[in-house]
Amino acid sequence: MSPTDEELVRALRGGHMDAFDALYDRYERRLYGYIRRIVKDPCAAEDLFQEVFLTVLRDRTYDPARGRFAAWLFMVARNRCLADMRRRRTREGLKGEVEARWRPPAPESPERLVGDASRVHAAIAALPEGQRQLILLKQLGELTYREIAGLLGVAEGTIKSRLHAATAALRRLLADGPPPTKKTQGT
Amino acid sequence: MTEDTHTHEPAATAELDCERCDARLIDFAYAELEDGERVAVARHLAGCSRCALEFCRLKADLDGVLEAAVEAPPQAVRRRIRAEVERSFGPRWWHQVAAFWSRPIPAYGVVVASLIPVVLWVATSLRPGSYGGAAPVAEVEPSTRPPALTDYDSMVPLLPEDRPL
Repeated sequence: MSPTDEELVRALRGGHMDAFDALYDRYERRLYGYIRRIVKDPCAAEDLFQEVFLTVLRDRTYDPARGRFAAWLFMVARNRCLADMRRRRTREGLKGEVEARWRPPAPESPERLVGDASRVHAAIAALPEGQRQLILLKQLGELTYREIAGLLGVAEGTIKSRLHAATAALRRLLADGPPPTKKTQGT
Repeated sequence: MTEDTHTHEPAATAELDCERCDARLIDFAYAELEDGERVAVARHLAGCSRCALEFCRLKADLDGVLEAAVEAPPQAVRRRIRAEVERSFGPRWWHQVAAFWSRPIPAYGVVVASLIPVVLWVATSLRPGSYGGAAPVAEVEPSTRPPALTDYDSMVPLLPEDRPL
């Protein structure tokens, strides 16, 4: 039987690098995918991925007896991603607005229209931020309703109903395609 | 619409009708139902083709999200993280020594090998006349011993030959 995440964390703290390899293999695709879906810039996503992984592994305050490693990992990832987005928005807010106003709109990427993965990416991107977070935490983080509720600080029933709505919205977007992007060119 | 299909197959889905099953389908797909409800939904899906088809579509959409969303980071990222983690948690030299000593056969081997020179040295040093050993002290007859000098003063002139001590 393969060891649990919590056992691997304990082994890693005891100096066993094999435990790191096992944990990394288990989470690299899901965690990086989660960060990439939220932070669009791949370089920033790589930095965040590294930061999150190291933070979680180095943090000795994490007690495996209190909760699953996955919930802890994705909670840190979510907080870091949101902090990064806020920082970027603040830094580039006015500059981006001005540029978007005067720049001609980018042509529709062929990837957006062709291929299932691109269709799914477009549908995820078209979801409101809250719904996107819920879908990604559920699907990529494989967190339970209870864990997501604890992470977001709301009732479990609220998460259940919000996730139902998010799933329905995602399926609508997958079926109908995301709405066309707003043209922001100045008049 | 397919409303008519909702009411068929009553025998197989007696415990859960299509409407109630539909309300639980997302929770079922997310594996969030209690055991009793999960069994009831599974039983309904096994007997209702319309709900089973709807569940397959839902599952395909969710699996599609998972497949499309996962993405591997570049290998360089792994190397960077591993190096950092190794610096923080990697085995230190004292861990390696402790691990070595915790293994019985090499540990005893090293103890025996390190004791061999000590034993040889002790054995050779105990043999009389050997290198490194103390030379045997020659016994001196009491009558041939020189007289012990007491209160010697170099400034005092030597005594004449004929004068007894």
